[in-house]
Amino acid sequence: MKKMKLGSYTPGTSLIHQLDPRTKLLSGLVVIIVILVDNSWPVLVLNTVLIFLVLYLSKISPKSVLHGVKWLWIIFAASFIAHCVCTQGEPWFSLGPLVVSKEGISRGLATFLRLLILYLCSTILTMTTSPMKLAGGLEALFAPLIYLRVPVNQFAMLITIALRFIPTLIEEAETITKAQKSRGAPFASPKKMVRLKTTLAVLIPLVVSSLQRATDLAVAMESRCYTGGPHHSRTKNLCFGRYDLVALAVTVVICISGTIVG
Amino acid sequence: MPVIEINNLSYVYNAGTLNEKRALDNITLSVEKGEFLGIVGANGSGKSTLIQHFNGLLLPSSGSIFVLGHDTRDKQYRSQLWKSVGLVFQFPEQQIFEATVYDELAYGLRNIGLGQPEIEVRVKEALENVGLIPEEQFLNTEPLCLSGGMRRRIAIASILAMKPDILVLDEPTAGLDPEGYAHILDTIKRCRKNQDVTVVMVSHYINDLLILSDRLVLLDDGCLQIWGPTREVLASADVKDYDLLFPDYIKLLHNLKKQGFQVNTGVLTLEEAVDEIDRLLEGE
Repeated sequence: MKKMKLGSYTPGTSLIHQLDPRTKLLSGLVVIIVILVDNSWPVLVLNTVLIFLVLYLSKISPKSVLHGVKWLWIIFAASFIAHCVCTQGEPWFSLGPLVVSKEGISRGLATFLRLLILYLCSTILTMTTSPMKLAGGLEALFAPLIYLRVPVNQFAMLITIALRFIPTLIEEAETITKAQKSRGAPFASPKKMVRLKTTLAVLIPLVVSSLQRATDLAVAMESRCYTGGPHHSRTKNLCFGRYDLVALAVTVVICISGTIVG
Repeated sequence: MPVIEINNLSYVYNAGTLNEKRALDNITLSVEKGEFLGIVGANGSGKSTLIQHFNGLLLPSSGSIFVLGHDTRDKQYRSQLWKSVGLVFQFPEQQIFEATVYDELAYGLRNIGLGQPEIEVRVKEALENVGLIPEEQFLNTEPLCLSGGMRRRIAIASILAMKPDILVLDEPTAGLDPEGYAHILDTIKRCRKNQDVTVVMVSHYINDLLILSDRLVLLDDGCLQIWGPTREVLASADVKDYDLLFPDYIKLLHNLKKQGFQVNTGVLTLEEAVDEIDRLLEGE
C-alpha cells in the first residue's frame, strides 16, 4: 500500500490506545449524540476541547489525522459558506449580491465544529483501536440483545472477518490494477465507457478471488468446529479498568455540564 | 548496450509514515539486450518491488532507472512502456477477467491498437507458444473452466502476444504441479529462442534459474548481494552465506572446497557436480 489509508489503525501504547474498546465506543457515542442534539456553544466548545485532549493523549500526530482529510475540508468549507450566505439575520458585510449575516457566521462555525468533532471522534477511535478489539467491543456491547434472539455472535464474527479482509482486498486490488496496467488498461481514458470496462477488469478478478477466499475460509472454520455459537474464546479478553471508569466519567461530566450551561 | 540500466536505485514504501519500509537500497545493475537475468532472494527481499520499476509501475525514491535508453521518470515515455516491457505478475491467473480465452489474450493487443486480423494471428501464435494446441480448441473456452496450470499459461500468453522487447516474469512457476512447471519453463525457453527477447525472471528456487540464466542477481533485505555471470556467482565464496537458497550439490562442493579439496564450485547442474566429484575421486 502506497499510503496509509484514512483512519487505519496506528499501533501505539498511549493511554487512549490502552482504553477498553467499549469505553471508546460508548464515549464516542455519547459525544456524538450530545453534539447532534444540542448545538449550543458551551457544548460545542467543551467537546472540541475534549476531543483535542484525547488527540493529544493518543500521541497520534495531529498532522496525520488532519492531513488525510483533504477532501473533507471541501465539505467543511462548503457547509460553512452555505450557512454564512443562506442564514437570514443582521447583515455583517456583503459581497456583491451575497449578504453575510452574523447569525450565519455563528451557525457556520457551529456546523464546522460539529463536523470536525464527528470526524475526529470516528478517526481517533479507529486509529487507536485494532479492528479485532473494535469487533470484540461491539460484540460485548450488543451482548444483551442475545436475550432478544439477535445472533450477536454471528454478527461479531461477520464484522471481524470483514475488517480483517479489508487490507487484503485493497492489496489485491492494487496488484490486479498494476497487472492490468501492464497490459495497457486505459484507466485514465477520457471516455466513460472505456473507464467502466477497465474498472471491470479489476472488479471481476477481485470478486472471483473474494468468493474463492470466502469458500476456503468457511471450510477452514468448519473444519475447526465453528458452528456460529457463542462458544469461541479470544486470546485477550476485554478488561474494563480504572482508567476506563475515569475516561467515561470525564466524558459524561463534560457532556452534561455543557448541556446544563447551554 | 544495456536495455535496462539501474543506478543507485532505492525505493521506500509509505515514506514519511510510521509504516515506512525501505524495500530497495542503493541497487546498481544492468541488463544487456537478449540476455536472461535471474533474480533470486527470500520473501521480502525486494525482488517484486525491483521488477515493478522495469515497466514504470513504480518510480525510484532515489537513484535512476533507464529502460531501452529512456528515464522512466519521463511521464510520456512511462505511459507507453507497457508495450515494450511485458510484466507477468506472481499468480497471473488471478488477473483473468474476460469471458473467453481469445478475448483475454486480445485485451492487451486491442489496447495497443492492432487490427482484428493481426490480433487473430498473434493470439494463435501466443497459444502455440505456451503449448495450448490445437489453438481452435481453446479460443472460445471460458478461462475459469480450465485448470490452474492452464490458466497460468493463458495469462503468460496474454503478455507474450504483445511481443515485448523485455519479458519480466515474477515467480512464474510458483504453486504449479510438475507438468505445469515444465510447460512454463519450456515456454520461456521457446520464447527466448523464437523471439530473441530479453528475459528477467524472479524465483525463490534457484534451480529454475541456474540452467536458464546468463547472469544472476541475489537480493537480500533490499540490498544487492551478488550480481554476475551464473557460473561465477556459484563459484564465489559468498554463496555459503545463503545456504537455504542454493541446491544441496552446490553446498556440498563448497564444503569440499572449504576442507581443502581442489574442486570447481562453479557448476550449474547436478550432472556437472557428479562429474566434478568423479574427477576428484579419480584424482585421489
